[in-house]
Amino acid sequence: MSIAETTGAAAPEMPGDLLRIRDLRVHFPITSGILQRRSGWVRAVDGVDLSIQPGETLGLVGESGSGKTTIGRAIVRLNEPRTGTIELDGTNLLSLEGRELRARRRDVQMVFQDPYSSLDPRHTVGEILSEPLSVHGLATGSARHDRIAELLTMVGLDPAFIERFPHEFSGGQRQRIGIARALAVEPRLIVADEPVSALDVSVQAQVINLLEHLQDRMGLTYLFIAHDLAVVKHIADRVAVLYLGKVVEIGPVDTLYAHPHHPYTIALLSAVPIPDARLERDRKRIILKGDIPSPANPPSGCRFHTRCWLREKLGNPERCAAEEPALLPRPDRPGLETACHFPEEAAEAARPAAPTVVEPD
Amino acid sequence: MPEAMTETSQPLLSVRDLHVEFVGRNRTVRAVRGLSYEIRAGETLAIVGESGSGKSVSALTLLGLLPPRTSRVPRGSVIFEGQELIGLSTAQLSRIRGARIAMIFQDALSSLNPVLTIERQITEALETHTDLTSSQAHARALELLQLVGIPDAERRLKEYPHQYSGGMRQRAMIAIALSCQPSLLIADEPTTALDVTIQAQILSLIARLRSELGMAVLLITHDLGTVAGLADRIAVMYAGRIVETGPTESVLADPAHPYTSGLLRSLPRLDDPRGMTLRPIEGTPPDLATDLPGCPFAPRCMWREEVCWADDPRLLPVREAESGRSIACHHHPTAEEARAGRSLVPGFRPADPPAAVAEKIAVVVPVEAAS
Repeated sequence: MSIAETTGAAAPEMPGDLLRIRDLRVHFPITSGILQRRSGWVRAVDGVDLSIQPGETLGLVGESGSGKTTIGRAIVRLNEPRTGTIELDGTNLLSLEGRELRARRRDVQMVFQDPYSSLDPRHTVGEILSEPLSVHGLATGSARHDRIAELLTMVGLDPAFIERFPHEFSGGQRQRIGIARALAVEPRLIVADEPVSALDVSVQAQVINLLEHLQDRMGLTYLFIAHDLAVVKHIADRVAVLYLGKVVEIGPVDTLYAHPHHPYTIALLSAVPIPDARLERDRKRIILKGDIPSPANPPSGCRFHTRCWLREKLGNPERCAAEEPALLPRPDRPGLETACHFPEEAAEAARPAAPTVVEPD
Repeated sequence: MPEAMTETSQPLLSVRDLHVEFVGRNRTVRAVRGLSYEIRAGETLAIVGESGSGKSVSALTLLGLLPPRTSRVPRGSVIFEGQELIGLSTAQLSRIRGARIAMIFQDALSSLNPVLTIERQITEALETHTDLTSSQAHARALELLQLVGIPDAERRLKEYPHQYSGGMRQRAMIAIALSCQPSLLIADEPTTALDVTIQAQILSLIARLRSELGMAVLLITHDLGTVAGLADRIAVMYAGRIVETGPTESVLADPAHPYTSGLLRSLPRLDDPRGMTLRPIEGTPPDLATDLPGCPFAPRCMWREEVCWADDPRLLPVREAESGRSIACHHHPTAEEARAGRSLVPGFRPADPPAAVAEKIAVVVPVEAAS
């Protein structure tokens, strides 16, 4: 795909990105009354820019209502954004229709959270894996059976299982089938939406290892959506932290986990329990007050200001509620970008020596 | 009914050799197979296990909440505050449930009654178990909502569960559970459905209430991180019984049973160095509807010996006598082996199953031996 064929891209072309998202906004209408009149919008994703390089894993973390799943679903066109572009190799996926769209769907595949409801219970494993091949006219005729057997082997399942139904498998095995289905059409990008969060710990590790192994072997690119920061640290190269439909911090895994500069990232990381009692006892924990505000009515200025421990510590500066902070690079931390008016103060307060335990209870 | 039977020497709750079965048309699943543990007054015990380990079933049994037609308790004893609970009638149990033992669940939305206000749901428990007047009950409900950290409690009392956020519903459920000042709170995956910042709020709330009210807590969870910050002791369940138990700190730092060490090795940790490979426990848990002659973990164990296929190990003390640690294992790894995930004895190979067993189950073979 050449640059000339690019559609709808405003930003200058930067070679190297497989996926480029610009100013993505996905808003869902709120309707009320019998006439279902629109009375507002849930701004699930509200101006997000992201890019992923080939072979890279970008982790997308955030709590419920952060918009992380909505972004994933927008990329595979399971919902329609209001504005923005999603470019894969320079082609804006959002401008595609009909046959072109269908052909391009092959490039991006999704792995879902729930391996129980994402597989059709009335189809055998063979039929489940056959469907994407039929849709895209791949491995036809006698090659079909061999390809399905190969896919099953690839995800660590016995090809003898081909005639079995989903209910005959455990959760981990079902997730392997879901991964095999995504791999069937040789996608460029896999959007994995909480692929291990429904699995038991020991099985979760098997599936994480499988995803890493497949990436090494086939050069896959992942958008890995998860709420578990320990899992994301393990699998991702870069991480984007979302809060109420916006990226509040993004950067290389090592930098972001070791030197977070956004108060929300700092609080999130401090809240993740570590299975070590001695460590837990001495750990500094920032407990945020209240709940995540509704994305239908996000707070003014910085969206995090209503729950921000740093703002309180700094004596509630006006700026936080008045002015929305832009996502800006941290000069001393290559690759890290933070959307906060006081990133240095945040990083300073997060340092282990500083006593900043905020306990509302 | 004597309430103050709890002497200091006597545990608050004592579960002895508990068995629970689910009876289906063609098969009987032995979900709990000889479970024994004790909780002292004010203590927090965490029961940890994966799906199907029997951890939730054992808690539901204490409260007589199992489906009566399909489940049965063929053996075992549960003594709470000096009283045997197994075999009590529903009426007798309901005097204890909610009053002396309260329970909170993972899913607050489906545990709360959608058509009653939060106030009504709290006062309902008070009216059942105490002699408070309605104005006293109202005052107590208000006090409880404030205790669990719900702001604007007077107004919130009049609201319905759907008007609460997920974290607030969990708080409301805790308020209801605490209404009659139970001596034991059973918390079944209390934070699993919550976001991480809300989870931190609820865990610190439970820790605070426990010390303020002096209750014992039975925490049931799959999350070893949650356990680390909250529990005094830990009991790890596998295939319907405890395979390892001891003080939380020492079990997590130095797991002795192959299953416990395998669980800890498969868990991605926030403080892990990047690029570390997870070492999952290969294979799957056994089918509890079939006969398990030997150790149920043997097919997945890298330390198994001949005896493991034949004889189911009992829970026996391990490490120093005063450590309070026990495991059910014939051949457990050393600390170095537990970290490595395999035996370090030269030439050691996990024992092959006897022919009769090999036909029926999938056995995990170490990678070195397989290649």
